[in-house]
Amino acid sequence: MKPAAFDYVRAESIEEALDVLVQEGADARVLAGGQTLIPMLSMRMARPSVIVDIMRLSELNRIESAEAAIRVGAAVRQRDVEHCPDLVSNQPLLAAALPWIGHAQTRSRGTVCGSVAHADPSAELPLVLIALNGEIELRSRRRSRRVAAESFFTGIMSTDCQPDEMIEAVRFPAAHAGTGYAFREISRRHGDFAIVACAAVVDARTARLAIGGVADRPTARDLPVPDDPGLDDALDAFAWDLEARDDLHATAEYRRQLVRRLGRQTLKEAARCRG
Amino acid sequence: MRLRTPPDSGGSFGVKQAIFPYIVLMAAAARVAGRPVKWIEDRLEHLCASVSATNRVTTLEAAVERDGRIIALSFDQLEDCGAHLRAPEPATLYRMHGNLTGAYDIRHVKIHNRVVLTNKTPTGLNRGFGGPQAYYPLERLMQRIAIELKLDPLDVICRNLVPAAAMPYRTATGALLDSGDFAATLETALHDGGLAELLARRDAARAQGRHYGIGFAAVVEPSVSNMGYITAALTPEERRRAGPKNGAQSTATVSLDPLGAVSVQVASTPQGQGHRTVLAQVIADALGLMPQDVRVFAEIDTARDAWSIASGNYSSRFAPAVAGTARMAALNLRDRLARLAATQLNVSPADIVFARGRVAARSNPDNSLPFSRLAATGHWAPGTLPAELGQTIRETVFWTPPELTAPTEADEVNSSLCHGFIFDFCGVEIDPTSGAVRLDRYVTMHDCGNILHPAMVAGQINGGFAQVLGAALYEEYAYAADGSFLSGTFADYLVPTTMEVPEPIVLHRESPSPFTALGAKGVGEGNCMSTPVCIANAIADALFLDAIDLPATPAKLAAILHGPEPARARPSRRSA
Repeated sequence: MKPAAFDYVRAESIEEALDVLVQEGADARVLAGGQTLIPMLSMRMARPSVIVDIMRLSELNRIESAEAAIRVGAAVRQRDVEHCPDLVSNQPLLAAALPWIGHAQTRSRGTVCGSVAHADPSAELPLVLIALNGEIELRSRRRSRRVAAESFFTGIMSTDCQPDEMIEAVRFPAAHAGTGYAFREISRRHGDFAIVACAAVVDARTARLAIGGVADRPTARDLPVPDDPGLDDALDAFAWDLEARDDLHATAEYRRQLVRRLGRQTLKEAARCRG
Repeated sequence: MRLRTPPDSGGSFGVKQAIFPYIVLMAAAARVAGRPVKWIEDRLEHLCASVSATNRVTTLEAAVERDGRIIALSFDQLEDCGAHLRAPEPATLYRMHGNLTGAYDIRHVKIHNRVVLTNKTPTGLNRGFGGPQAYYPLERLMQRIAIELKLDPLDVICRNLVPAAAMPYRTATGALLDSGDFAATLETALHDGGLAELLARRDAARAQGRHYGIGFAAVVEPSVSNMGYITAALTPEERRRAGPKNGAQSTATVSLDPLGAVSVQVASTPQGQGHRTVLAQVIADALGLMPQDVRVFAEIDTARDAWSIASGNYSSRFAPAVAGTARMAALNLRDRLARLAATQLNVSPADIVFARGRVAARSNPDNSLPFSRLAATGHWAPGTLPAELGQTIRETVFWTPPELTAPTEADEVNSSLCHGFIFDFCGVEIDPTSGAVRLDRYVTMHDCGNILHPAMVAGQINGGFAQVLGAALYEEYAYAADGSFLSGTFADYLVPTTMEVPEPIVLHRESPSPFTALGAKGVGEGNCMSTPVCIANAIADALFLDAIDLPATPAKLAAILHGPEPARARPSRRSA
């Protein structure tokens, strides 16, 4: 076996899963769809002593569409949300972003909350949560709490989730009439991590742009609306403020240029979609 | 020494043709331990220590007439072979030695080769071996000549092609180009591939401010390597001391069993190239049988089977050398069987035909017997065979082409037996935002001599194209400034998937090789040689670039498209 040895617990209840987290603390990891954790184990980038499998917990495998928000439980796979009836009208930004996550095969296994918990700076779902001002529901033996996406993501693959806590669900605010949404992404190949991903939310008076793949976490900023002459300067300042870095696939300059160009295109598309 | 190879070993693309230190160490460890030893290699280990293609820096100078006709070439090739010089390196430099002038009639050539070792992944065999490194500068040069002399790049190519009447053509560096009408092949490709349409698309795109370019590449694809070409790396004096090396010995054995069933065994170590399919067809054709009547064995045991040091599946030698040798073995056996049949059917051997599983008199087809009965005779009634016939049970042929001679005193060498011709052209469009390259159309015209099996040839061309699209646009063994290896996973080393690979338009022309039994030439590596530079030429045409390095990543091209980035504006202090 490529991973280091670990114990495996298939939780029969949320309480059982939370008990393991209390006992093992940071040495325990929650296993949902496994699309990130399993490769991390195989590369030994993660070496937990216990894996807590939550995928048999039916109470976590629920999508609840209410007027205010779409609540997605911790065991819901990305593919199930993608195939939700009325997703495009309920939350078009989520509908637009989902097909960009990995591949159909990985979405069939990977969970929405798993991606949020992993908090990769280039991941699509954390970006959508940030753009929409979504919330994360955390639960432990001590308490249940809701955290705004803006304060949940704290850096590269780090979040406000404490060692005894697990994500129980995430909430994507539902679409508002008169608001347009758009998502664009540039990656090397179909399904690769985003070099730059843009999520835009535009209404009559405000425009909000969230950028993934550039800073250490998905980052949103309120900007002038697309036809405002101040947009270029605001985008330029946003691009610099994200403190892009070079990596194997793209330079920092390339990322800044994409923030300016793709960012503007995404805002314009959202404005067009305002309907 | 004893080597046993399985009938299938999974994909290789060249990598499995070399001997690695771990292979020898495993054998030594097994001896010490007295039990089998298993080797497990993970992705990171494979990427950083198995095989990379060589990294070459070529300075190529040309003496050119005003009309684009090239008089002379001077190559200065600096070859980075990675951390260790592993056998057969520095062969990458010499595999193309004879055909370094490509498809062109250039009579004066100077070559200066140097090898350097670095701390990178060691280099070795990789599909196209030496081809991409040789043709990249040559075909980039053709485009540069056209631009500098204000000529059409196609005119520059056509004015330099080896004329059909000159075949077989001895190049300035020693290759004997075997056959082909390059000019006519190119014309057919332009017409059937629709160049006129691409030119119109380029005009329309440019009128709209879009970035569209067209590239060309003409190459010869060498196959069946001369065992002696690598010795061109030695001085003539060193060669004399070391003893001659030349040729390309191939082997094949055709056997008949007591029920008259046919089998063929070759020493070619396939990795998915369809040996069973093609050899069954070749042997069945020779003996008047159906392919399903022939059993093919492609595994070898060097202690038991016919083989030579030239055996193996490299330099696209299966169709021209291995399949041809198998045909020779089948024909030798058929001729002896015909003489045996002649005694049984009371006709002359010349009157015997092998067809539809029977052996018959041509003059009277009713006068016949089943092939299996005739084939079994050597087992059941050898006493009935005419004495001069010997046995009719098994025939092994060893074949080495006489054209593959050792290097001359002047370092000329016919480095390969066959030379197919490839002419490619493509249209690309560059996305103004991302810098991503979209292949609008890719046309690849191949003359690989006689095609033995169209589906196998299609598989080789499409597979080679997909592989090398990676080299052109995605794949790179990348190292940081401090030398650390940056592409140790498939998230870093990007292999194109089916989503990224468009289907090329594949065209054919067949000019049989006069030097092979089936008239076939190799076809497995050509696009690895032609496609990278064809795409590079198209990108250079789209963006009006003098120089371009592959892989042409979006970030590289976007830096050109976007221009220099203005420095950050000072934060405004309106509120102060």
